[in-house]
Amino acid sequence: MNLVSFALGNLRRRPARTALTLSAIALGIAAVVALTSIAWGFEASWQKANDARGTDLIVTRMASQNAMPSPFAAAPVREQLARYPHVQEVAGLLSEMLSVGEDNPPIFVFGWAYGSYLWEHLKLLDGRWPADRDEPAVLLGTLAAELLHKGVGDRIELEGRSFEVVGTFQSTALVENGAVLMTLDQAQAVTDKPGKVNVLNLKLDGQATEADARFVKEQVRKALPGYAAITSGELVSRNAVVRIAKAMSHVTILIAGLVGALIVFNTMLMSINERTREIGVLQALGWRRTTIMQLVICESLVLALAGGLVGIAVGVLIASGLEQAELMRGKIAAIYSVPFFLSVLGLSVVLGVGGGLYPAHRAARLSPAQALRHE
Amino acid sequence: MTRASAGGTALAAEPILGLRNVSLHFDDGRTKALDGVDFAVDEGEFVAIAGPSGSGKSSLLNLIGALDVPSAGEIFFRGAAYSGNADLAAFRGRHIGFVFQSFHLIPTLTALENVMLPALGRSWSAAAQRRRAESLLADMGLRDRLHSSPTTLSGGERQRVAIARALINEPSLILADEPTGSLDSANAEQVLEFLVGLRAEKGLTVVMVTHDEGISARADRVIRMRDGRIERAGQPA
Amino acid sequence: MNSWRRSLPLALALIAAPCAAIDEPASAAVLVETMKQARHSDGFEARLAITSGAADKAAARPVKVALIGQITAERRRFLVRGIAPERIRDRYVVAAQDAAGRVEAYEYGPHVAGPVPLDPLSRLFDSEFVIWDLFGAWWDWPQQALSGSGSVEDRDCQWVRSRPAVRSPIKEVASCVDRDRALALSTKIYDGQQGLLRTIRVDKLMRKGNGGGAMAKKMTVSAAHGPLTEIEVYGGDENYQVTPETFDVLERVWGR
Ligand SMILES: Nc1ncnc2c1ncn2[C@@H]1O[C@H](COP(=O)(O)OP(=O)(O)OP(=O)(O)O)[C@@H](O)[C@H]1O
Ligand SMILES: [Mg+2]
Repeated sequence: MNLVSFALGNLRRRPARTALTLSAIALGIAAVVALTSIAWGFEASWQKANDARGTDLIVTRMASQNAMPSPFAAAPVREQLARYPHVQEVAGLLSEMLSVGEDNPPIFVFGWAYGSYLWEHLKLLDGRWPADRDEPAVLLGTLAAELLHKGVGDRIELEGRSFEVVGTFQSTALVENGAVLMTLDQAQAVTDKPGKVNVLNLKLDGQATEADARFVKEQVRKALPGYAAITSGELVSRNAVVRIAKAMSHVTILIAGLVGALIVFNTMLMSINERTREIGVLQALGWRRTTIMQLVICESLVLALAGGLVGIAVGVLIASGLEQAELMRGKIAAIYSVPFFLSVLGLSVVLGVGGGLYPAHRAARLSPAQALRHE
Repeated sequence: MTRASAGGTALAAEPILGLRNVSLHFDDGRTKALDGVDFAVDEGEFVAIAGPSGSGKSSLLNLIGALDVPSAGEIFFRGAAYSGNADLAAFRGRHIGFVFQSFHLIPTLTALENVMLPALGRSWSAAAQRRRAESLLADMGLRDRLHSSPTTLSGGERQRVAIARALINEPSLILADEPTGSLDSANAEQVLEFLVGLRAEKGLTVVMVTHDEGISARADRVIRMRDGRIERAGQPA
Repeated sequence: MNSWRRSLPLALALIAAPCAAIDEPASAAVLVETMKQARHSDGFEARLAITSGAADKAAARPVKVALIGQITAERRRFLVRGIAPERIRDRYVVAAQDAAGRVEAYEYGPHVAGPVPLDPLSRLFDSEFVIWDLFGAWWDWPQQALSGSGSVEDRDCQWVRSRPAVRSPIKEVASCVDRDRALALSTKIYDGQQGLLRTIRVDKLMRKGNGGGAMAKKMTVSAAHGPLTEIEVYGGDENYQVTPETFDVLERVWGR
């Protein structure tokens, strides 16, 4: 026999209460596991979409965090960028929110440099790609086609100009599925921004490492004042949806942690109140206060850890259920890792100790004579 | 029986226990559980404490067992006063074995585990603890009940488990608060035999609270309490 | 990925333009100078959605136009190009201020034969959009006086009254200038006979893309009589490249 088996026995004494406490902790942990794994999966899938596009660095003109990128004349910047080592391709992009026709809400219109690598990651579902850079043609993302009720052969109007829908496509990125796509030259013409882009996408060659990307980034900072180069990873972490998902998972961790600790706190406080006389006996038998504290902490730890383990299992189930749900299918993929599970167990330990500390202190502080008189 | 022959050792010169003008007050002095108690117990003595309910018997035992600290006066163990600052838990674990009227066994543990409980969290090896607990239970005639839950044991068996538990740390002083109070006469007799035997075989000092005149008659000495004071100390009536 | 890459906010040169914040006490002269400097632009384009008859918003279809402007020491000129709907497509209005400070406007496009003169004070596209207002000519008028502090949409501002020295169809303009943003949050335009002609109020601000300061994103023009007109900037370019062709019609008319 040791302290742990004694603690286990004490927990078994009140099976219903132990089970309730354990499931409350498990639920909290499950929420943490499900939300966090999905938030990470979400980030990873954006990353994947970005990687699929092959963009390593994005150069924009940005005054500050909140200001919008302004369009800029592409040629001089592009020339500068092309000179950096490992830069394989620089593709210009112009995007605007424009309304199609008169009745539709504004929609993203992307102009991508004709023949650039940007087009390669798209899957053509119907029709064809633009025949040349000057063809007044657009392609619709799957979602955009649905929203606009347009398909191949239809015409749409943008800024008073008429375009033929020549194809529909699917992308790994949700935004692109909701967008109207045309060549950069067409986008520049339609928005009267000849030669301008809001973004230059850089693709580095196969040998380029992250250090090379950072080098280019640093060069841009030095040589092109007013411009900023962002790695695709940074772009993803700045993404609002990813940030919201992460913030939600952080809030859940916080709430689950607090609630879990409170539940452990309450249960242990009840338990030691019930066992006051027994604690007096232990003291009479020569148990030190530290040993009594250890016992109580041990009990709360067992509760929290068991709750954590059950919670991890339930959380994985919830996450995989969400992945399968009609609405979400194909859009999220939860990500788990051993360090993640270990940190969840770490969280359990923290709430076990956190919730058990005060009750343990209370138990250890009892006067043995009083405790023995307790009914 | 003289004090010297009871202890049977050279240590008899110094009492194992001495109380000097010890008082214990509750409720800001309105309740005087003990009021200026003086007495000494010699090494190896078997002392019975008798008296009506509320006379302060348990309070006295608590003070001796360092479960409580006196409001006034001093208590000496082998000549050294123990005060509130000392590690009382360690003192209890090292020198005192408690036996209670209602056994106070832990229901979730087996008899054997209950006996091992005081040694938990000490540096003894698990195997040594276990061996010692088993042999103590065997001594108490419970060789077959090692793994029984206390709830399945009779009152007498439970109290014998409690005595084994009190002995596991090899204390020199056994404090028993009405150890036979919850038992029928046959079981009470058996438990008493064990306690008397402790003194005879191991030279332990036993201080026992009892209501039972027949039981106090077996003691070397009876201390009678009334209203927190010692009424009359001396030979059994 | 592109969620942050919204439509580009744009300087609307009407009354709104940003400038560095000024800390010295605002005299009328300081405010006027601030506004003059803030209005400077080598070229910009703003796409405007102009909705009039805002009483029945759902039914009111916006008119979309592109506004190109250039306000430098030498030149002050604007070009309006109709985008949508069909009836105004590629209809142009060009206007410029001459050396004497007078504003002249011309209309051209497929619907008229050659550039025809247009009253710069006329209402365009059946709305309260008036090209004369774009020039901010009143900032050059000799009489400028503070007339108390005010507040527009919970933003504090300082009223400035401007009066012309010479004969002008507009007899007075009152502007409530937000010093820090170098922006007139409200502009009231008066004439001699009828009094208040219209009020231009900034409803929404946005930050300028290439530096500090705010600009109007949305404004409301209310005429003394008639419906409200809402003007919203939905796109554009703060650094529009004005080419020789941009104002070639005007150059031809003036060179004539
Ligand atoms: N913690 C306490 N708080 C208040 N009063 C107490 C406390 N402990 C004991 N007393 C009081 O002190 C007096 C002595 O109590 P104690 O338990 O020592 O008596 P006792 O002789 O053991 O009685 P019994 O034979 O009923 O066990 C009683 O009046 C009791 O009410
Ligand atoms: Mg008692």
